[in-house]
Amino acid sequence: MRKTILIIDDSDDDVFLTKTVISRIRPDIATEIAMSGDDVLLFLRDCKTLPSLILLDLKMPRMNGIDLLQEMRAISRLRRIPMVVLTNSELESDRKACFEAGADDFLQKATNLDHFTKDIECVLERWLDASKKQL
Amino acid sequence: MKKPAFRTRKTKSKATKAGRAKSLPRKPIKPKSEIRDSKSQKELLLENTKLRRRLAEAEETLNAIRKGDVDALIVSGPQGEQVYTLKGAEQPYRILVESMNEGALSLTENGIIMNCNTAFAQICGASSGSLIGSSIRDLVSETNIDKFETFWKQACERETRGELELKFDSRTVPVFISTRARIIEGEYWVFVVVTDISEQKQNEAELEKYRTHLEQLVDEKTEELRAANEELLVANDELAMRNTELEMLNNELDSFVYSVSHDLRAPLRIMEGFAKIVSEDHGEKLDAEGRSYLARIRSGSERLTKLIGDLLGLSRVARQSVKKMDYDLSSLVSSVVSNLREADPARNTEVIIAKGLRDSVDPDLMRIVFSNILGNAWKFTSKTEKAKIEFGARDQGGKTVYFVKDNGVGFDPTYMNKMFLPFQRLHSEEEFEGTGIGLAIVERIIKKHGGKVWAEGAVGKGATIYFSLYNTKPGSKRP
Repeated sequence: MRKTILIIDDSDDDVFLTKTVISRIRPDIATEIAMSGDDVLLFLRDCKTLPSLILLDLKMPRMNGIDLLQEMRAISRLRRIPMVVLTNSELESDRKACFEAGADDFLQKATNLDHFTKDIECVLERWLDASKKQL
Repeated sequence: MKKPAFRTRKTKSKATKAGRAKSLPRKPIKPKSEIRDSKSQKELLLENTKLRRRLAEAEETLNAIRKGDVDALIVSGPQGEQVYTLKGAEQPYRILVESMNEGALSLTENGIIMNCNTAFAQICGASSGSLIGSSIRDLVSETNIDKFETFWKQACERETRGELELKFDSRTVPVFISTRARIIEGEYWVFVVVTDISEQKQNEAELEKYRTHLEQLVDEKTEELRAANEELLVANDELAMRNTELEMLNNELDSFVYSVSHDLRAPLRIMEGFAKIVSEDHGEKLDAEGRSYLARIRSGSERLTKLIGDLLGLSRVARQSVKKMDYDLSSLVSSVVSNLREADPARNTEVIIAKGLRDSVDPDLMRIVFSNILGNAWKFTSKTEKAKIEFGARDQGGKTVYFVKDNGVGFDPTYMNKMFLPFQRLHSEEEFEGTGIGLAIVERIIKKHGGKVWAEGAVGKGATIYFSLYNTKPGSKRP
């Protein structure tokens, strides 16, 4: 079965870039998109197959990344899904808060496409392929 | 009056009346009120005449005593006549008293002057003859009468000393009086030494005047100082307030620069990312012209990315605090040079690094400084044959000044002041790439260390960047 990655980001451009980069390196992986925390919770409630990995932005209107992490971690069937924060923030305080809220990894969005591609590769390798055994 | 008893004189006397004794009235005057009450006018006149005669006689006697003409005298009193003798051995003593600078007096218990020396007469500005027989009270100034009575009471008891003011006609004289009371052969005597302290008083007054004046001056100056101090405090407060305001503005500006740069980066990332994807995945669908336009979009966005990165670096440096420690600058420079060589292995550049230069610095910040300065030297010697870069230190007025010298393209010294301003470039992007922020970052870091940075150079003759890490005042800043 095709693995699915859920990308959560309020910026259409960012979502599209991440999606494109993923499809360039791993065309076998499907992506789902959510633009807000409410969308995510709705999607996760109704979806038949859970995503294998969740990539989420931090700075979002209303429910921000940290709130969302806490909400999702409270849902027991999502407990084992790896959640990786992808953000423009370079603040150590944000990083710490994310891990406390249940994030598995914290990545700064690289400006340079090559660097960003490399980062995504690493994330997939570590969290998507490794999580296969766990799920 | 009875004739006096006769005594043989032991001393030789020049006086003709030698050996004669004089009689002196004892307690001759009764209180006036008593006289007025009990006696008629005729009686009073008679008494008066009698008294005058006795006084004249007394004066004569005293003068005779003073001059040594008489060595004994008889005083008639209520207890009958009494003989007062002046022993011959006492004569020199009397002369001593007479020649003293201080006034000397002997008085009765009632304060009648029985004898006084010339010095006292001089103090009073009168003849001793006129003083003898008078009451000492008549010589005390009105304002001092009460004081005198207390004083006299003590004097009669035993002895006392103190200051008093005497008055003669309209003239007042401050005196120091020292007394001693004695009973001699049943008679009560008060001996008094009087010192004129006019001069001392005058000096004291003068001194007091100066002291008051001085105090006044000190007060005035103190007041002036206090006022000046107050002004200074107010000025200081204002300055502190301005400083705080300025600091706040600076901080605001820094956070503004930071957030703008940060927010600019997000859309730029999209532009740069997709430009690259188009170029890589769809480039073959474009013709040469299209590909060149795309290349320009990409290089433009790459430059903007670098610029924003540098701006973020500058604002990060501005917000960062300096954590100093003793650090080996020579090896820091070596490490930076190694990175440069790694990134550009084809280049053959001679780099001379002075060994063992250590200083108290923030190593992370100093790495940024050397990366920028050496990066510049590396960049600007890229077109130089036999490129050479040197790091060293020299002593300037007792303070260490570090330098990085290169033999690259150099710069026009006219624009030297602009070198350290952000975005200021002395070379075109085509000649040498760069954002113009590197030296601004360097200056910020050096300033944070409490030092200064400056440059020397000329077109085609290389450049030298100097910096100090403490409050050094470079003497030959300008080339």
